[in-house]
Amino acid sequence: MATTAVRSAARPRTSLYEWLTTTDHKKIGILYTISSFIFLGVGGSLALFVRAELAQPGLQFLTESTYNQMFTMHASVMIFWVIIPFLAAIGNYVVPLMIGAPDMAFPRINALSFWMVPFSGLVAVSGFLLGGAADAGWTAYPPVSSIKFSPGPGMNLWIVAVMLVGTSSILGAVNFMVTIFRMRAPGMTLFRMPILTWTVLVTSVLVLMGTPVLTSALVMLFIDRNFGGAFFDPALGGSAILWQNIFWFYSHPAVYIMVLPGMGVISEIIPVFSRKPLFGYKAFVFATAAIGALGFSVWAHHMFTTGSVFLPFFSVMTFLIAVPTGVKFFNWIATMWRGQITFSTPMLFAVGFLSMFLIGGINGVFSASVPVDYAIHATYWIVAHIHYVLFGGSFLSIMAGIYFYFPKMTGKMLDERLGKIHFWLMYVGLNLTFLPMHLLGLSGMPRRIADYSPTAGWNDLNLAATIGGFTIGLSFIPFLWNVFISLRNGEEAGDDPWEANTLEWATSSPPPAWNFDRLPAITSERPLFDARHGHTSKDHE
Amino acid sequence: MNRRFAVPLLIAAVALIAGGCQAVSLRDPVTEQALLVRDLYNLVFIVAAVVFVLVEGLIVWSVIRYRRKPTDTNLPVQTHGNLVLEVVWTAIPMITVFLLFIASWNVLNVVDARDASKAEVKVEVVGYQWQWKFAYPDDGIEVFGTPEQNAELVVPMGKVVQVTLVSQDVNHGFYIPQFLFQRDLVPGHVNVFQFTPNKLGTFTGQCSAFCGLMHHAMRFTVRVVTPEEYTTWLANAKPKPSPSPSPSAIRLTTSAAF
Repeated sequence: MATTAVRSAARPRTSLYEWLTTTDHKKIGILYTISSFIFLGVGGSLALFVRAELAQPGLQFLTESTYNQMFTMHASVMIFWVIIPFLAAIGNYVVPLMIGAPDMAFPRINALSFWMVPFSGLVAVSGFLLGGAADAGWTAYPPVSSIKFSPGPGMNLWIVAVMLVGTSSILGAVNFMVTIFRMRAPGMTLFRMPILTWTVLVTSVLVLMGTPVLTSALVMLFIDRNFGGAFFDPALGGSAILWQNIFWFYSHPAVYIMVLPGMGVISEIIPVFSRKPLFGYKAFVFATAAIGALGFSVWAHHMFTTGSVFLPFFSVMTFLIAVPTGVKFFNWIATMWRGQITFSTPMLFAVGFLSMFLIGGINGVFSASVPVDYAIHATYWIVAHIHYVLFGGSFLSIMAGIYFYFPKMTGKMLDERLGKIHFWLMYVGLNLTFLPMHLLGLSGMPRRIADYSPTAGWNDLNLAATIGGFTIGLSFIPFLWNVFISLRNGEEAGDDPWEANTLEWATSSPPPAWNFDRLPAITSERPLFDARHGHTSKDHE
Repeated sequence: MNRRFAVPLLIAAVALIAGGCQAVSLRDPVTEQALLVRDLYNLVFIVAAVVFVLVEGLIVWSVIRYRRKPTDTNLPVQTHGNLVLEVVWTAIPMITVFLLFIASWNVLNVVDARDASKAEVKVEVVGYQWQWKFAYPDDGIEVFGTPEQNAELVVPMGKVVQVTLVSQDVNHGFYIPQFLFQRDLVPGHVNVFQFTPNKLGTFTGQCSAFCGLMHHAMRFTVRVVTPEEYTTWLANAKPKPSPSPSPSAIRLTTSAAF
């Protein structure tokens, strides 16, 4: 009787209390998504302030001080509280389903990982209300980030917040690794795992190797600032270059942390909408592992101009890391080749990713050439590069994933017409924003400047970039409206609206708390395809 | 296509390509070293453009050519891979980037060459929040920038100039776009580089490494003059034994004021 009483007293599953205390990986995945969208609003608004200020020479809206806080917090928020958590959202929601598991290995740690994200984000952003947010750039190079040159509370808040969000990443990485290694369904061998699961696995290894190193740097900076340490103070025997080495040891692999799961999403979407298997599955897995391994040997290309770097090693490694990425491009194209392509919105974003991330890959190779890097380092060329990687790459893949998995998450289809409006506005906006930045960089405009000379010839290009930035902002209106109306009156999705290949589509939309009533036989990396069409002989056994 | 439109379209296309190539090139180089960097950039750009056109072309072709038709009821051929193809498209990029590395390496050895015995003019560049000091230690000259008057580095054309970079507080970046070159000023670490100007004129530069509040205002100029003008400038700029202010257009002060 007592048990029954307790059960009947429990609130319905959708209540607020249930969401705040859930340990269900699917709900945590949705919570990650919501949190990431809220911080996207913050980080995006900061970007628009920055673009508004740069639209014309002279200071119109901001002071130097607020400008520096805004570009610092724009990058920090987008990296630590938008892109990484968005990918954690997709990984959380999809990975246990993909491998036929009932949940993550450690559901409570999973909830802890999630809740650290919005709280740490609030800590970082609270600087704006407490006398000034961090203002030393997201790279926080000492001495600019030292207590002497950045005395406000923002820098300390930023250090604590990044430590917290890093800890969240580490916990999440352990959770993903244990889940993937220990909880795969019978028949789901490593080489039958979906590519997205592979990329999450490699990303987790990167997080586990890199993030503790960043945390050590943050601890040292915190000691320097607050307890009189001198790790980074050359006047007292420390080294300003030391920070750059430790910081980039994490922060370069972090770029792959932000891109690999996105590549995984794309590798799930392209085969489905081309009606073909991914071309070169094993090559793709090895290329992912190669990017992960090489990713730890290229960090000092961020430091070519410091005069404190062993140039040939980091130059050749930076060139080499372009190769596995190139292999992936050919795999994706070969997957579409002679396929039967349908342009639903997820595929549109996936092809958008291909065309844009290609630019982000190519314009990065310029920096591998050290003398060319001397000419373009710290200019808007680099700003263009990182945005083609993180926006054209990571973010478009995230949007592709959201359009792809929304039916699974909610049981409703999104509206295709609004999805396409969203895509084209964003696609045009992102190119209008970031293409001109290449030219600004070539003509010598340094990044991180609040103002520029009206006679430098940068006015028109900056105005174009600003218009593009606001176009991107505008593109979210049809998206939000789409989510709103689809949740209310969207077409029912059914279990498998896309005729997909992998296990997450073998259960209901949304799936029950325990994920699967029964699993199909798993004899290849495409169990659902096999169930629908029969096993094709060359699938990976 | 109608010939009436063909000619203007062709002209427009040529203009667009020419304008595009103009826009995507680096600034006109004004040092011997920069000429090599410009050529290297152009090489990397051409390789990049070929890769871009090839891969983007394949993407566009695939999505246009292989759209699903209403008649496509049967599955397309389920190709899982092709070892030969995959080896080829791994090997070719690897060879390409390796060749680019060799080309970069050759240029780097010239750009980064430092031979103190060849230096004909030695200047010390000091960066501090948020100005520059240019000193000529051999001649006892020091030039300080102010918010009203940016510091100007005067150097003779065709001579090997050796720059010593010193930061007094935070990281700064000594960056002159038309030198196609920058080098950081890092506290506790002195950087040295050499350049040989080969064009007369005044070239703007500014701090490229974020250095705090007024980072954007940390600008300077480099004026390349003939060796004869340089000798005259040196003579005028040298601190006079008399306390009367210098007649030079540039603001000069002694290090005591700093």
